[in-house]
Amino acid sequence: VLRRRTFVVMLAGAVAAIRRRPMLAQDRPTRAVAGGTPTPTWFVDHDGWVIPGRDREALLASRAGEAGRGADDE
Amino acid sequence: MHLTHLGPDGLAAYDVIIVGTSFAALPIAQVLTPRRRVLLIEGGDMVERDEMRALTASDEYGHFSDGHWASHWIRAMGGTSSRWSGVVAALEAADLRGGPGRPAWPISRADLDADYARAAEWLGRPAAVCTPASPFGESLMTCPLSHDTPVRLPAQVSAVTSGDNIDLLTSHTVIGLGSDNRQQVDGLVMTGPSRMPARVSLQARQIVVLACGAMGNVQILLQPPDRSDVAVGNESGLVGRFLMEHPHVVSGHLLVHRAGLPPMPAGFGPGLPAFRIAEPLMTRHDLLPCSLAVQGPVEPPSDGQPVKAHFEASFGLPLEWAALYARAEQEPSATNRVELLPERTWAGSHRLRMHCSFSSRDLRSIEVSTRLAGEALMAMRAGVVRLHNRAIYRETSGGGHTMGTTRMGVGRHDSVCDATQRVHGYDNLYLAGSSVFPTGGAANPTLTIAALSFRLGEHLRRRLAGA
Repeated sequence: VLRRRTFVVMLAGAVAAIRRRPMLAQDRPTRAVAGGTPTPTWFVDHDGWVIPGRDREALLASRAGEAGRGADDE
Repeated sequence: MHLTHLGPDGLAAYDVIIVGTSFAALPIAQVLTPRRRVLLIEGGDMVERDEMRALTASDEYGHFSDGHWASHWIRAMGGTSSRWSGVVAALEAADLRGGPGRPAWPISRADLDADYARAAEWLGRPAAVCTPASPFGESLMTCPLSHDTPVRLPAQVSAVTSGDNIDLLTSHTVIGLGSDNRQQVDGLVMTGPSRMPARVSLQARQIVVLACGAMGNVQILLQPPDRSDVAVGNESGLVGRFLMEHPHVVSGHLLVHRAGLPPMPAGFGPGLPAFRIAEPLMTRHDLLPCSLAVQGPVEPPSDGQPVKAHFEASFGLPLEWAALYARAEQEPSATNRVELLPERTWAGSHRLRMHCSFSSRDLRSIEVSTRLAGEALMAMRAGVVRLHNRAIYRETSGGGHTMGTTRMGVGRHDSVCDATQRVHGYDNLYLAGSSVFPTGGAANPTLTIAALSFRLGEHLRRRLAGA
């Protein structure tokens, strides 16, 4: 019984440690939205821009649009 | 008067002997003369010579290599002032208060206010350069840097030593101290042009000030005397410990509407806008002090045009590219240190070995400070930041600021000297310069070095007057 309990405690500790591991800065939402929704309002994107999520989405959309136009032109 | 050798009376004529001729030494001499007899001792000559460079060659371990330390340790008239770039900034009250992992200074910013003003005037800057940081939005403080033509000290040395009560002895390297009773320094071991080290006696009433930099002071204080393994002045065992630099790196690109930045204080003169993170936010994120200066204009990043166009449209303002230049504090650590090597220089002093590495907290403080500054500037629609994560963690270097090797504090358990910069346990031995800094703060050290030396000069003047 003791061994099983020790094993469970160790397993729980390992899971907790993995869940607590530091995230990379570029993947980390930097400010939580009130109400606990998972969508970040601020985001350090993969290029390092410290910009709000809505601006990031707009920039990504414009980049996707430019890429699409380029494919059509060819 | 300029001397090239000591007369038959040796050092007997002087009230105060100051070893060094740089920012840490001259303010003390200026305060003490003309009422007191002062001798300045310079190891080098009027200009830097190769044989003096050989004295500063050191072994380097950690983040710094290629002669980093020696290139900022100059043995010539004016010392390392010849490497000063001309940036002036004062420490903030928070820098001196200490915090987790950071010892508090035994003095407050208010104790230094008058000395800062005096030091600014001496360095040819208006008093406004000492203005404390002020809020800019909720998360930032504005703390501009004064950046003007640097003062070169040899001319000032000549002006100071033209007085009747002050002499300048050149080409004499102090390599050690003597003390029979471990309460008074009673001799200096010096190597002159003859290259034969000789001991020159001192009397109990005479005061010695070591002002030859955070490496030079250590080199003297660590030299073991003939009759003991413990060097004179190192009874704390802390001489050489807590070596600090200022981590420097371009931590981000900044798209900024310059007219939206806070104006310089009235009468500030030429300078750069700069920010720090507000103290509550620093505490919440466990940050070391970090100043972010706005430099530029700079070349835009190759993929920056769409972002610029997007935010110019979003803000309704023209934006330009600038760089965020981070100057941050390095956490004081006993493993960052200066030690003696077994071999000796031609002057008879032991060579030095430096160990200095940035901690993850040092670099994370720069990263998080830059990110928080980006969030705050965006919230105020004043700028857009692009974080240079790779540069922060791989390319951070130093500013040539050597600090903290003989720090001041409460007693021998935590420091080498006390709040008056007197070495614990010694009556007539004082230290001057950035070696006494317990923490480095986020400001270039020159102004603080000079301010502390004006403060020390006033302390010695009162002491010699019997007050």
